[in-house]
Amino acid sequence: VTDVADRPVRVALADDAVLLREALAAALAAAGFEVVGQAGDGPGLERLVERHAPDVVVVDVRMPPTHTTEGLETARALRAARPTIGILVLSQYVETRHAIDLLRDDPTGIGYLLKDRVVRVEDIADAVRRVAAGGSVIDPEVVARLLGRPRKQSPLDELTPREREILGLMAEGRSNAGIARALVLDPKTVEGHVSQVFAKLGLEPGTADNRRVLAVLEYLRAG
Amino acid sequence: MRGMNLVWARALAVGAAMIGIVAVEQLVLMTTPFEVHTTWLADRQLVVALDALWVVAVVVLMVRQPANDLWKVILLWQAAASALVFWYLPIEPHVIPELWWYLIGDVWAAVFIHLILAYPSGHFRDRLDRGIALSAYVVAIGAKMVFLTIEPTDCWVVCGNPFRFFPSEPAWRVLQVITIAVIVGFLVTSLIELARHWRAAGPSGRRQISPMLIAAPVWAVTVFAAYFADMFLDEAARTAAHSMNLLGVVQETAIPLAILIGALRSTLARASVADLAVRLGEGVPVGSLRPVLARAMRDPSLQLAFPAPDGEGFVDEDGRPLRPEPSGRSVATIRRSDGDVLALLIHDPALDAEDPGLVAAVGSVARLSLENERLSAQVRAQLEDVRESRARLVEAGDAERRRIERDLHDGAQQRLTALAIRLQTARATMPEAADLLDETTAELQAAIGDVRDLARGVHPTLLHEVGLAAAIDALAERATIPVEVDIPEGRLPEPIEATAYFVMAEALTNVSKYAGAGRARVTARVDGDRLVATVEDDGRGGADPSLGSGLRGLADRVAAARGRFDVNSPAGGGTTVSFELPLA
Repeated sequence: VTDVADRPVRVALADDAVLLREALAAALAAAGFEVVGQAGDGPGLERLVERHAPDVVVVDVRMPPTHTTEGLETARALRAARPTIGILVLSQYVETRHAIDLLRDDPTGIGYLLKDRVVRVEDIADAVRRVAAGGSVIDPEVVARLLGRPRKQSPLDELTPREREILGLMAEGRSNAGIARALVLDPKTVEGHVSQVFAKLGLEPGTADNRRVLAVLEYLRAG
Repeated sequence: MRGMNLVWARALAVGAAMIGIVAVEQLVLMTTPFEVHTTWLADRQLVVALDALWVVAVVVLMVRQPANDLWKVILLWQAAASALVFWYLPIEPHVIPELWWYLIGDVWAAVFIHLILAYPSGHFRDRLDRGIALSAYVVAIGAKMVFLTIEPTDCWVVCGNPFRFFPSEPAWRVLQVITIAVIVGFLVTSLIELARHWRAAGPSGRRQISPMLIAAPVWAVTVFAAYFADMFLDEAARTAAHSMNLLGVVQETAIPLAILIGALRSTLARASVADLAVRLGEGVPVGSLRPVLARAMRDPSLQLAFPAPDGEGFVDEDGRPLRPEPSGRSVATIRRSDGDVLALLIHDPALDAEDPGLVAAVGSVARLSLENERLSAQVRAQLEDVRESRARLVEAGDAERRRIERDLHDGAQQRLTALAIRLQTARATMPEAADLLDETTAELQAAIGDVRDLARGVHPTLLHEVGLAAAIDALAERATIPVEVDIPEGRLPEPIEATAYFVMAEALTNVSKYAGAGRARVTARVDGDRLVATVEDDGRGGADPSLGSGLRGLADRVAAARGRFDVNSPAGGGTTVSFELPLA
């Protein structure tokens, strides 16, 4: 796994569950990432970032001392200090609230994934790569829940199954190219579907990729 | 009865002494060979009327408040004023009554300050008050002694003064201004002290002090106006000042009237003991005895205390543990015939001075009612204990849920996930077992999902991370029907959030299980010091809280938080669960 400069993507990990952290480090290394260090809490991760300047940090939401949302706060602090660092937040539970909060300030290079996604190495590797490239990654579970949420009358009812699928992938943070790849479609076709979805939902067309995630998530949440 | 006779006898004796003092004064004036030129002292009708007013005031005060010692100060004041007429005694050489008259000439001012500071009990409250009064006496007499030694000329104040050692008019004038300034200073201080006593007094004390609060400044201003007129004004102005006889009457009646009114206002309580007996005879509902007793004692601040059921400390009539009573309160202990403490009456200490028998009388008249009240208070206290222990059980349950969620998170979930990662890593090295390992991983992931759902149900982390609104939002996302959530963001005390969450969650579960509803709505808002919440659906209704254990459990949970719980579920008309939780 290399970035444009043809060097491995450098990753730092923070999680207080040592067993899982080691397993994840091994999996990422096997997938071709350079794991520059591991930490057990937020301050530890900040020190790692200070020393090794990784491209991406992978951080668990729940860490000492309070075991609540330290990971989110660390992500916020890291992003404020280094606007270009990629941040992938892992959590045992994914909550729409946290996803939107994470994306709200600056959705560039932000990811929020269910922790057990790490089981499938290709999933986590893909997420790390997208975050490293400045994209957004939202766990399909969040998106599925938002799309599947029972609602009264809604413009969502007017989407075709294909459009619905594309809306879901947008909500996961995929770019048009990414959607085209995932659905094996021509990028032009995807573009057409996307503008159709935006028109049906009354969303502002031409929203930049990274802002698009937030717009879609907030739309679905409000629905 | 004998006690009452004694009180009357004492009061009448003091009244007689006062009449005696005035009689001596008038006798001196009637038999004197000198010309009487004091204006109103010679007006015998006025003197008799005024003295009568004083006697009535003192007798009323002493009968109504047998423990009151103000009469001593009043007697002293009258003596100080009347003793001035000894100037008219035909004693030779006449310089002796003249010296006497001059020396005690200003004592009345000191006694007045004494009276104000000791009002209404007749005793000083603190060393400051005692010090002021003592200083006033010392200055009033001591200054006169100094003045005698520097009298500028003979007959300036006393004719034939044998102590006129250093006659000096400038020294006299300077010293006079200083002395007056000091006395006025004491006077103003004592009036301020009176106001302070009024502020510090309880309601019944205030009722007695307030007339004096008006009378004392009136008296001081009018008297000192005349005093200064005597000293500094010319003959014509002085005559004019003294001819304001009406002013003199106002001035002389102000103080005895204030004492009389104060005594009458403060001591009507005794009569109310009889009313109390009648009122109690009619029956007082349990729980409302305190206001009845407070009215009888004329002390709205009255508190009742009963021994706590476990014998430790005291509880009030609602069964709540009583904090140590604030300082400056009097406590009367009412005992049962076997000597055990029945109740405490915690009351305004002014009641003791005003009417020492009153509190005991009220206590014995109300004994039976207090016994009822005590039983009720103790039952309430036990109920309160049970309620508190129930709230503790609920809170302990919530804490336990949080702990279990955390154990699942830190233990099983992490281990299973790490295991799944390892299986996938192994898959790369064992291509022949790839399918088996993939299947196993999928099973493992399903197990992780089960554990996650279980943990979330046990305790939603969003609840303590973000708050009630976020947690209910997340619940609504997973619901089987559209759920509208109208809950303001913001934090509430943790037990309140937990109770509200679990009640709402259970109510929503009921909606999806039984109500056959098309949609539901959850609302909450803070109204004053309460959280007011509802969960409503458009389902078939007909839910009965007395039947379903689910609803019963919700009601219990709300009751444990001292809340109010209500279910409105007409058949076919949807169900509305509403509850209120006190925030404090």
